[in-house]
Amino acid sequence: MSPDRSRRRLFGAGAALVAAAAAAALASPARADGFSHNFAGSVQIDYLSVPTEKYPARQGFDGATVELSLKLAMDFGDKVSSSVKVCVACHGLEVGLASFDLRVADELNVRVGRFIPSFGSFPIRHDPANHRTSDKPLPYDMGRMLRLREWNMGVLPTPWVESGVEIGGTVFASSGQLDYAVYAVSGPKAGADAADFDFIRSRSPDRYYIDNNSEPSVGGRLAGTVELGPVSVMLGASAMTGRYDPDRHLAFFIAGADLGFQIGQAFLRTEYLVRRTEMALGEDPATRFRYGPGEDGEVDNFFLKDGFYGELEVPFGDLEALVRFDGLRRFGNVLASSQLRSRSAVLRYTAALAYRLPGGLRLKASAEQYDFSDFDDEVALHLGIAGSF
Amino acid sequence: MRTDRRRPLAAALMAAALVAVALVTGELATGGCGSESRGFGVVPGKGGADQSLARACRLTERRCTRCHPIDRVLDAHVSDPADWELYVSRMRRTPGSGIRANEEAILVRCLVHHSFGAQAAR
Repeated sequence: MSPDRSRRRLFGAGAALVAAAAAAALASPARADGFSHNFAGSVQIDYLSVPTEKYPARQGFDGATVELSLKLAMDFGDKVSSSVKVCVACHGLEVGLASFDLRVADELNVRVGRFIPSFGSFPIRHDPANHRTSDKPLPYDMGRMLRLREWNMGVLPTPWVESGVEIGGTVFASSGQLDYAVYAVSGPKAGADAADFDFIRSRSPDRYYIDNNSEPSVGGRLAGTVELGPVSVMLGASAMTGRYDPDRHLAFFIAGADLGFQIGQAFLRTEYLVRRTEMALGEDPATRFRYGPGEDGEVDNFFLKDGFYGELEVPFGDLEALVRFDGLRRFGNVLASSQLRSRSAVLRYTAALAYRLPGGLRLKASAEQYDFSDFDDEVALHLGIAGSF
Repeated sequence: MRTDRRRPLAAALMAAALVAVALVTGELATGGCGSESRGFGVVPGKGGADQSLARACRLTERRCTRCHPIDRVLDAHVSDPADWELYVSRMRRTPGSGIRANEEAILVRCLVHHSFGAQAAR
């Protein structure tokens, strides 16, 4: 069976399962409390200063930035709910969530529409009001890191919003739980001659949130939580694969693993992501790429990008402290115009404080030391206010 | 990495990390970890609270902070105790929330106590 046919059959089976779940959910007696809705949102205003750089705007989005999200959730009884969320950040107004959840039981939930597919542990905390720094860990960076253009951001920029369907659920045990999710989504996008994902094309409403290659990307996540007295241990693994160019020639594969510990309200979190991305070699690889053929006479048609973070978050009354160590690496050929090399890395050391203010606001301050393999090292200072309502 | 200059900030950050770890260790050793200084601050025998309410609030803190800071609960503007039932029910249905069906009432009791006092939570 060809890969195309296999993917279409998989998608067809998923669609049939969605229809069955919808029928089961709608046939189940809804709770008598009828419809209810909730309106919520968050705002973060952050100022980034780079004292080691005379022209920081050449490296990233310095100065003041605003991130805003507004969410409306609607419950249609106990089995069906819908959510719509719009966000404004560096890239303008966009739909971050527009989906229906069809919930049969704890063990089976079907989500259809536009949503963030289950991948890794950080995305559930991606909202600025839900994490303690002004920016995200490097593997999930979506434009706040220095040298973001040279690095093309993180491994899987978050929030990574996709259109499609996800089937998931939770199986509870006496001292823990197992969460699973599988999904088929439109997937990342780029042009026909791509050498990496085009993140603007992947998320921009100018492209009508439609697929670019008539083929879904598929993925899944399996995560477990064990509660040992006051300690919770969270372990998860995620994967996603597909092709991202219009001609379905360029494949990608992303894998991730995460391990976290919760003691009271203190958290120790670690996570690792790796992405293998195929590149279009073009008619003349010698001029398109910086490096020539390898010892086997072939020009590699892919690169590897991986990233990690480890962070400790501890509350002290109304003050929270966070220390983080994160990094990115890239292995493989680069375009002739790139400032990276065949082996590039960036490490970052972060110390952050967040102080709870009246009215649900939080003052965030952080200092970051960037350690680049291909550029001068930099210091970045963030000061911001985030709040939710 | 490319330059040879010293990185005093990185050293300071790592020192801060060590201090944080030390503070955490001390905090955990005393059994605190912010459970009373932060969060719902429910103490048995104080303000009509009993042991089961204290346990309920510890569970609430544990479940809520899995996805978001406890501030989002502490600072929530809720005008009716019944609203907490809807919120907790919605959160429980969120994939991966980790809230069991039989925990809904326990969490609601703590949240109603927080917002409306001991009488409303009975």
